[in-house]
Amino acid sequence: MSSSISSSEDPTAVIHSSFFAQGLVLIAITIAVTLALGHATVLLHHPDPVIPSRSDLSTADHLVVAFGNSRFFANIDFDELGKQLSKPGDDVKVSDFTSGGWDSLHYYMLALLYKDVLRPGRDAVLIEVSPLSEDDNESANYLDVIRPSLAWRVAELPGIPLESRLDILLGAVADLYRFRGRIQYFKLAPRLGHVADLLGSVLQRAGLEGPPVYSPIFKEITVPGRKYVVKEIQGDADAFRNVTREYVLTTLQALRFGGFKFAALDRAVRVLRERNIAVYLVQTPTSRWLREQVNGTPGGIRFNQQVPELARQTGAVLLNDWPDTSFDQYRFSDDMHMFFGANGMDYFTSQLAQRLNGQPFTGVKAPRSAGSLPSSRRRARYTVKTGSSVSGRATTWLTGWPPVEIRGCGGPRR
Amino acid sequence: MLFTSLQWLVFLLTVFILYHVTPVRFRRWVMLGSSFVFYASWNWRYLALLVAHILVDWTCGYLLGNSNDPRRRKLILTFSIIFNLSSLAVFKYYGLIFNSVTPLGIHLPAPSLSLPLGISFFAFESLSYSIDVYRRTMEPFKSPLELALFVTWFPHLIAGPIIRPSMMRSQLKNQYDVTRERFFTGAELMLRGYAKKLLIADRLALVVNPVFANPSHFTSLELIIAVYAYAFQIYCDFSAYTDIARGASRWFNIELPENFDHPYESTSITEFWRRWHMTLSHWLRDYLYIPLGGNRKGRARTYANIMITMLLGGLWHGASWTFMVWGGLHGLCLSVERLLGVNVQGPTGKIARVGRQILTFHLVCLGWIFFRNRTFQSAGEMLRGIFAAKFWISPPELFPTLGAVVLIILYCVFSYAGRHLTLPDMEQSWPRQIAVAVGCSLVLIAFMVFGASSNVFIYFQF
Repeated sequence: MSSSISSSEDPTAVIHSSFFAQGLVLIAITIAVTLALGHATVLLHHPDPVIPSRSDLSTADHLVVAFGNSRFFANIDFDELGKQLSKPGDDVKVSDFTSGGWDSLHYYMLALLYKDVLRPGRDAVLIEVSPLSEDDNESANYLDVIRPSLAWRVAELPGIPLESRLDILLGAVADLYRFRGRIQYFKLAPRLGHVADLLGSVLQRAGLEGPPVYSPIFKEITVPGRKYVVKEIQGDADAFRNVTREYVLTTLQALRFGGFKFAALDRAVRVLRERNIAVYLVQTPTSRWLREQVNGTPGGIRFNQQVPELARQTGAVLLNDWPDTSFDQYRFSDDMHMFFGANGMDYFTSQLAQRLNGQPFTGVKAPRSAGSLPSSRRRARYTVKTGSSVSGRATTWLTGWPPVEIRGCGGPRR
Repeated sequence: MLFTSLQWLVFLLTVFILYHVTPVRFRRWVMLGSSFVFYASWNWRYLALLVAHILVDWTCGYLLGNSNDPRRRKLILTFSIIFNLSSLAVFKYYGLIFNSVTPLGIHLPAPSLSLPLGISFFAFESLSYSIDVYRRTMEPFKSPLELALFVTWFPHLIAGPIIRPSMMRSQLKNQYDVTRERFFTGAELMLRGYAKKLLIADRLALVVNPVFANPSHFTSLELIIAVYAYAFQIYCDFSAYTDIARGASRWFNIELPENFDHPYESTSITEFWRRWHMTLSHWLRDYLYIPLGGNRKGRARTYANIMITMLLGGLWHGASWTFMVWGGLHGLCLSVERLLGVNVQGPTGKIARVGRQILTFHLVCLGWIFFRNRTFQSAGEMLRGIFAAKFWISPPELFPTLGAVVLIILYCVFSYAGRHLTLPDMEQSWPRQIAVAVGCSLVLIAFMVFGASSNVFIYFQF
């Protein structure tokens, strides 16, 4: 068969006209220049440090770090948790490394970062667990925050999709790619918003700016200065809930548990436990409706079997048996994020503090100066901050990311 | 594997290297293998369907080539047509058939098959091979692998351009290394495609999608701008795909045909179809309109043939009645233009020409409203909103609306400049080559910042 499709070209033409080698060099130069430009651009912006600084460790008898997503930062007031865990002469500092949409890939990365920094017996790690965080079908949109030095470790997780693997590895070599969310959200969008304001005033003068033809039937009112924490739902709260439930049901239908995300969680817990660091797997409460929905899916059932087993095998503590009133609907803005205030975030923070108080890690006292950072970490600069300080359609228009302002529809945070 | 994905960039570069380090006589195997890998990356199960199309049509071509009996030849061709159209009917139109007959009380099994990517393209190409061999306009391919390479060549597999077997045949004989000219013109085409997709089409999509999702939430002016934005989005999106496909093919010495020629500068719908998705227009003309009788069987039949061709052309785009309406609208315009004797070249006077261009553009935009909306209800809602005469922009929509206007203007300026600028020959001009290299860096930067949030190419769904 091969002979029938073999060619009869003039071989000399190949030799004389080939631009393959030069082309390849040119491609390599183009890529190198792009990567270098990206690196230089990102250096100029000085991303924030994220791993605990020396002062984090030296000023606290105990450091509790929390790895989680929006369910963590909506349900837990970390400063308050620190206060409730501290006792006179025994200070507990709580740091959260949380971001909307994060999952166990991020927790694994953070576990690798922290395992040599945290002090066994004194410090602890809280890891958010939920079937939704371990859903293999949910594409990880925030892989860009994986630290370059750990990219390979994360990318080599068994079963991780090729596209995610490539995403992580490109992020490791291309700063522009890794920080694209930050560049879009915090650098480009505000500037474009400013341009829109200027143009808006021109339109106003021309009489082309007028009232909207449609008023949203609900609106999420968030707490200023915090990550996306909802204070209240103005307008038709039922409509809001219906929209978010529709999204959740779609997610649950495709939920797949037990693959690479669980492998990441498993490894995250094990690397910390191997260093004797106390690990708490925290499954935050959800509304009863969502709990029933999740528990009814094959993924939810597997989660309920495998996560306790992981805790048992590794000596981690699973915190998921909250009082029944924790699941009351009025505590939640949708079905999984609690409202800001006494009935929601404050309530759960106290519940969590009660469970953590008296745990072994809080009972050990040691000199405050104990623990130091490896020299390579000291210079590390990195950011995990995402959030919604830039709001409005300018951001959405630029990034295509979920809109902050909802016009009667929209997907919930994860 | 989206053209805007990292996998694609890695894949293209890998195949490019593999192709060039492979001895010339084995290069077609590399091309074929990579095309199968490319298709399998979407859904490997549908590879069987793709292979079935190739084998059936190659066998039909082989039998047609060896037969002189007209009845037997007709029978073989009929089989090929039935096979290809049945495949389309089962995989693409069954849902529409199911939804249409269920209200009539006819109960069919619920559709459960997903749409194989690019089926409309590869079914048409495969079918055109059988027809060409039947018509004796080409000799049958000796090996199924040649037909396979023609049908599956990865850059055009998912969304065209729709090529003819005869066009590909001669090129398959030339597995030379890439030349300087081919390398740079290929890179330039890809560059243009990425700029259109990442910077124009994907940005416009962010304006268009919310408006088409809830037309009643927007003012007339916002709706009109969204329709304009969609017109440019679909053009930039589809022509970007074609540019990238053509550019990538050039790195392998395959020249794919142009698919667009500034369609929005058309002075009539007739001219529009000579400039828009040209390879489909030619296919429909050669394999549907002319076999139906074209304009050779009287006026009434001519108009009927135009309508049938355009209605089926509309349906080719998707299994929805709104696509039929879109096709019907274009068919109606073509018929009216024919009836009125509209000159395809357009008027000679500048003002009359611009006037006709504006009119044609708005007729096309009217068609896009039905094309983009999946239901008549939402299309109607949009049309009602446009004629509600609310000519202002509300503050929440200020930025996207203005952004869309700015992008459209920028695109028009660049497109006009690009068209009227006389560029030096690529092979001789170092500055142009350097400009391409710098442009590639800039597009790579755009890919880094925007690539991950890129949308699927619109024509992938067809």
